[in-house]
Amino acid sequence: MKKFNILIVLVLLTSGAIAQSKSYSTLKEKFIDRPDVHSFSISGWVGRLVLRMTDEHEFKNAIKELDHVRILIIPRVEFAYQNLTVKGFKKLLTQDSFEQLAFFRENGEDVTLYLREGKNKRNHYFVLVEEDQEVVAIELKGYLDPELLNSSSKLASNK
Amino acid sequence: MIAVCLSAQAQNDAIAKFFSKYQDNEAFSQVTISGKMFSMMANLTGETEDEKAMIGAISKIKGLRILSKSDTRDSRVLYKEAISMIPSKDFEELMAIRDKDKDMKFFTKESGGKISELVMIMGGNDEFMVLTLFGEIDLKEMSKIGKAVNIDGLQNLENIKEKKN
Repeated sequence: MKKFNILIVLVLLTSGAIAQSKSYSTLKEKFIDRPDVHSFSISGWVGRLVLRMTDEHEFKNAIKELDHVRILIIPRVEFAYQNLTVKGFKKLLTQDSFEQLAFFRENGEDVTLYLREGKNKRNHYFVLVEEDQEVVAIELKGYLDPELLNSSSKLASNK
Repeated sequence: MIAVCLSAQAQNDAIAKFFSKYQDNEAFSQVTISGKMFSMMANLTGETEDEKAMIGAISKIKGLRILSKSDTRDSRVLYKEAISMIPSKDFEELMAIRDKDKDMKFFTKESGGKISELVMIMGGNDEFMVLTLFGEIDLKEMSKIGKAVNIDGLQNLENIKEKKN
């Protein structure tokens, strides 16, 4: 029984590792051991719990099929230290089948949204935020319902 | 693939040179929305007839780019520069608006009897904006989209007579 449990845990751990996109795992491998690089990972369930606790019920339904959120915060100096560029990472995202959905620049801060569609609503969403001092990479796995997001934002704006 | 198509199209659009010149200038704000994003929006189901018509119009859009600069003294210079970059052989001036605060011009490009690109250039006392939209464009619906997504200026298209599209 113990062996079986270990096997289950191993399978879950492996599937968790596979669930990360190649782009995210590459970024993580390059930077995770560097000082001042921070990494967070939460399950969709925890995300929904947080929204419930913060009374943001409108968006809870929109992320009901979200499996995982991963966040990596990397100081810009680390890119220079590794001789890497954000532009180069964007190329990697494209090679990894991510499509750019939108790009916004405001006050010198760039935000780029990407999507890699998967089967059975197993999408990967990638948000890259380029700030003055750091780069924030956010990967969401699962499905964000645009219909529910739209109605949620309407509800939120009417609050 | 869409990104490649979008970038290829961007090379040919009216003010690609203008965008290229200023897109790395951090004093400018920038928005780029791909056709993929618009096709995702097209999956929404509207509640009212207006919303349904707007979603129908959105589904035919292949891309949007906005470049803007606020609190600037050179807005009129930028306005003139952007206007001068419109290739007159491809684009027709659709509408010009002048009031005490700002000048605004709309240009369209037609392809196969339909509007395939819309350019809006606005130069105010201290703000400047250039917007380019490509795909299959319904001018009447663009004013509604402008209101919905809060793009100042597009609401003026409401005044266009229904001779296009």
